[in-house]
Amino acid sequence: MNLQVTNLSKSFYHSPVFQSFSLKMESGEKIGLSGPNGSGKTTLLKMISGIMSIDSGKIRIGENDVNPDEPDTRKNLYYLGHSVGLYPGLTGYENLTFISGLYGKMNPNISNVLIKVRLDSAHDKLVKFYSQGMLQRLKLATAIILDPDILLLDEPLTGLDVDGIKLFESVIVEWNELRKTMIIVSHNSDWLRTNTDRIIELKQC
Amino acid sequence: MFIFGLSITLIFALAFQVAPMLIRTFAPGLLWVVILFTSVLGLNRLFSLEREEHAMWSWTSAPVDRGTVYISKVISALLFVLMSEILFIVPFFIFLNLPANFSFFQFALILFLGTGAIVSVGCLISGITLQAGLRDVLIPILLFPSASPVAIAATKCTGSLFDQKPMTEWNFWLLILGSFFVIFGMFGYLVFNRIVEE
Repeated sequence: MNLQVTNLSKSFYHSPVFQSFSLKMESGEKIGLSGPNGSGKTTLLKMISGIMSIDSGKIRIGENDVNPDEPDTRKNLYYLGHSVGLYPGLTGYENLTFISGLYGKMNPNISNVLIKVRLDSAHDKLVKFYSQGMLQRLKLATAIILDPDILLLDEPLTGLDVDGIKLFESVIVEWNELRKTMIIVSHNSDWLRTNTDRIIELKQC
Repeated sequence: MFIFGLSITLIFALAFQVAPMLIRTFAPGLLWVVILFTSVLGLNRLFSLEREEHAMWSWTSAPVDRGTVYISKVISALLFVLMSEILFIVPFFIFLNLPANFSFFQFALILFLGTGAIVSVGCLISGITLQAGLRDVLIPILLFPSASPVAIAATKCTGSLFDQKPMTEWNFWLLILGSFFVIFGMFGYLVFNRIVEE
């Protein structure tokens, strides 16, 4: 699915983060996003996902403009943020059931996905007791279950061990074969160079 | 909330050692002060789960109408506050020595509409302060002035009911409560979408 950002502007307390920023991604494209702290990498992903409002400009996914008043415009994307974004008082299984329900996935194969991300032994453990790496695996499981066309991955490798990174890379290969559009934020330029089609370097305004 | 409401009731009962006729005049106001304070306690906790670890991202980025989250929060808060009211209103009447010679149906209607109006305003304020740092302080500061018309109307209704006046004399105040409940409920539903955006 295509993603198009046109003349996007965003300021925080009159301090601009984006001024007329434009980006065009074709279906199945993988973009790496890098830049110094405060350059707006997370802000861009949050704006595309609808978590954050935009000051001006347009975000178009496929044939539809992203509009906070039209929830359906958010159904084809998933934002894997660097914050947890899950209910700490629920188990991993319950969180996945809840989120898949929000996306209208009626019979998600949660158990199989948990086995795939090697969290099957912790499926009934409360998320607040998960380690950083386990949380990343759980977020990866969420992305696999929701199966969106566009994936916004913010520092997805944070906290993952060597096995976790390998698992994540294998999932990315699968998504690439399914022609999913991906934006991956990382500070690891070498990893981005190896695993993405092109890299966009953001600079502070 | 029930324990808090009961504690305030006890404080009022001990502080106001006055003639029964006099306490009957104050009782409607005291009752709504207890309800307002108790509601604040519930409203402070209303979005606490969503604030932990940015759990709200799970539904703000999902293809769901965020206004329905507001409506569900209003319903759950209303149920919890009403349940705690049921529990502390009996001790309120016992400790303050108040006669209960009025229509229970009308009393229940006033409680439902008054609490609903407070909660619909409160949920909106709770949503507005969702990202704020001093949230626990901001909610009462913003809620008390906003909900004062509700407190006034609810006190007038309850006072008239306690004085056994016919409903036709105080239905104007009841309409105000109902209007607050519906208007703020609808307004919250419509604007919540934008409120929860960062």
